[in-house]
Amino acid sequence: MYVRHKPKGGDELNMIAKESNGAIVQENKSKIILRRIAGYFLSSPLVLVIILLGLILTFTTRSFMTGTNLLNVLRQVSFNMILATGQTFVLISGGVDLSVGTGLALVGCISALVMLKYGIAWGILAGLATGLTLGLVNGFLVYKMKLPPFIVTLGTMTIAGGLSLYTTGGAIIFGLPEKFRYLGQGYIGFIPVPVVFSLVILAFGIFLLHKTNFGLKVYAIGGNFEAARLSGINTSRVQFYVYLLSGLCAAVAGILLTSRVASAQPAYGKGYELLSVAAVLIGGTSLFGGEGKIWLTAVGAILLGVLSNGLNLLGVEFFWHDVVIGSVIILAVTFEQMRKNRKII
Amino acid sequence: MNKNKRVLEVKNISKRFGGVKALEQIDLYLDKGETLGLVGENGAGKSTLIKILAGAIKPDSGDIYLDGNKVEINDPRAAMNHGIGVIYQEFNLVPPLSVAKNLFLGNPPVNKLFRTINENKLNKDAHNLLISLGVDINPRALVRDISVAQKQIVEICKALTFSLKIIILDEPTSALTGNEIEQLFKLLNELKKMGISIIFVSHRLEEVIRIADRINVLRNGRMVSNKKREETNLDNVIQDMIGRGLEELYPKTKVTIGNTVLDVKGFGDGKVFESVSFYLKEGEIIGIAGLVGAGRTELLKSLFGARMKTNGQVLINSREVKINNTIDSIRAGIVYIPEDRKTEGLIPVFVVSNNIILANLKKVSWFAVLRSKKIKDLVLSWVENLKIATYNPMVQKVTELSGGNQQKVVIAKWLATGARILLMDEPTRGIDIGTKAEIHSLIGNFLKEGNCVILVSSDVDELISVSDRIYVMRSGRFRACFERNEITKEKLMSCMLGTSQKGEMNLI
Repeated sequence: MYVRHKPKGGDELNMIAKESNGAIVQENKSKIILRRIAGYFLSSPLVLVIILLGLILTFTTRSFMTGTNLLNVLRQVSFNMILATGQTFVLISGGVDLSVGTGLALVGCISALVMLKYGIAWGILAGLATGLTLGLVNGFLVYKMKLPPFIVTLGTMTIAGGLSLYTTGGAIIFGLPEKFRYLGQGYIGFIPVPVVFSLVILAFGIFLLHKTNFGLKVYAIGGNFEAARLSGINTSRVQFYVYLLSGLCAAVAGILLTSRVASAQPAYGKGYELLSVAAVLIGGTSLFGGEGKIWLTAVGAILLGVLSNGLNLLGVEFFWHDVVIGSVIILAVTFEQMRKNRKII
Repeated sequence: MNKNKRVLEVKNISKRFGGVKALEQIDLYLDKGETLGLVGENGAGKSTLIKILAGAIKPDSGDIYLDGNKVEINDPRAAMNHGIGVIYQEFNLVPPLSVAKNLFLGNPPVNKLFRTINENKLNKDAHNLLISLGVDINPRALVRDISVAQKQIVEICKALTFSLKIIILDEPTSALTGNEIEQLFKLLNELKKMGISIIFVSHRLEEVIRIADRINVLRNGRMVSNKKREETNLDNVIQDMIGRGLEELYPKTKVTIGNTVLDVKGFGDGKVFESVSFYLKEGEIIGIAGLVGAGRTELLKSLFGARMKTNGQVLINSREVKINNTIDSIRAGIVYIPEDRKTEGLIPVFVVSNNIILANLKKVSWFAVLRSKKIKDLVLSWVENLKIATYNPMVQKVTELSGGNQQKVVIAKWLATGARILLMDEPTRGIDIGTKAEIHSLIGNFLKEGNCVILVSSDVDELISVSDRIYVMRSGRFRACFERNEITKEKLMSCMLGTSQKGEMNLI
């Protein structure tokens, strides 16, 4: 007998446990229905968490539960919500768009520069064109050159960051027209304009993703690219549009944010790309594509916004914010993982 | 060592997946140093049984005894601790590490100081282990550089470092060539001498009969026979596995043959196959026989527009059609049921209905907006039509269905497009016998409507039973064509293999 070592490492055992060809797991009907109901309760805790957080903040701070503050939170969230809407499409399609952060800054810079020279309308158009170009380049490299999205958008992220420094000479651009500020600072009724924009884009996103052919194709290419292709879906075109959409979202967010701070800052968008990915992941979308819901992305974005607002109001030192937000991302995804596993086993 | 000591006894194991009985009251035993061959068709329940022994899934009822003591195997770790190890088809080795490191991955010998790995002792231990088993592999070689057979052997040796009493091998020879199989068998005989019991699960019946002391046959989740090697033979085992005649398994529907629908001339892709010509009439089903790698799948994919083609003509109803992508071919009425439904046929994360409508989006939408009523109508009619067993196609994930029903979902997706020419690549592989027959009667109905089918299958019996004509493909060319009345299994086989080639035949 060759008795050498008692088993120790759990990893190999787990590897061996890996099902050899994906067991077909079936359950009986009532069990599945029960699971489904439980699933809804377990997927909505995100909403419960926000309510709980809100309640805690209402009692621990004086200013949280005030109209101004809540609208303020929503306005802060709206930029990320717009980015995250586009990002949801990208992640569900099985990709990722890291270029939206610096892309947003580039949109702001170019839009501001053009605006100073040719007026508001041309400035906005230039901004939109910049975002679309970014999406176009990403889309082209991903679908035509078949490069991994992570690498493509990592590259364009760096390029966009460099370009925004180049176009502005590294300086902040002030002196944008007074009227332009309405987009970021104005109100429709009592609702801030960016919030209106984000809600419209969100509604459009929900419609596009859940109600149209295109939406189903996005899920399909994320769920199984080859099967989607063999089902007669023009996979490259879908991929291309997904990145275009994300670029467009970055453009809108960039223009609104520029208006909001009444200046274009080349360093402004840094970190936004990961914040948008975080919102999508907290919302339960799979990093591997094929699964996810867009309204939960919005909930994820709001959670991040409320959290950061709450930390501000509680007077927590700024550098702790990232620590807390990072932990929340990990917690949320862990929770999501556990929920899914329960479904499978 | 007491030769007849019973190490494993399984009593009355049953397991259901939803409505499907995967295993029904299985009894199985294993003596010390015995090699048990476990055979059965795909879907017979072999994998389920293995998984239960490995602790990957739990049985609904029944008991497992090890050395006479009742045990519960709740997870793979428990199985390992009880001395049961399973070696699956895909390897759990780390390619960039050396053979020696892989062998002792869980618990390498370490130096006292700093607990760094003692490379010398590691390699020596590995060398000793390999030599004692009569295996000639350099322990310092990287796993990614050794052959598949050697990987298989390393995997088995690795299992031995865990003081196992029972080793279960799942299709160990499927990726091996003749010579490599000999190596493996030599190793298995060594293990036998050491008193290790082996459960050998395989499709290759000839090998099972060679290596096993006793053969158990599973059919539709039941253990139908348990015979000593001396008491049985190949024909016997096959009969036990299938349990009924071939006519019943592959029903052939009477269909009147019409005009030529598809005419392919000098078709080639410049790489895998060339100058392929054939025709296909209304109501006809033609078979394409050939070994793995003969170019059959590539041919179908190119016809479907999923692969490049470089030359040749495709005529449908005497008119030439240009097929450059899958969208063109679907429009032309040609659709393809892929070989591997998991990677090419289905979107696993999707529910049944979304999988069905995927190729029919125009039918269920109003200007690109999906209409849930239309989806429901289309999906429910096909679910009923093909008798897909799902409690609710709108909410049940497709992966929750059995293999046969998953295949039906793929077929539904394509029939719903109104296709007239169905290219089927191994459509009944990995499907239980009942559903196999069902799928063939379904194909029969499809043919009755004046449509036609091209069937690629490695199952020669299937081809012979249903095809009106069989083309034999070898090394990328059509080498022969047999009409229905002149086909025999022997003719087909020798033509598939070619005169110069001598491979092993894959039975069933």
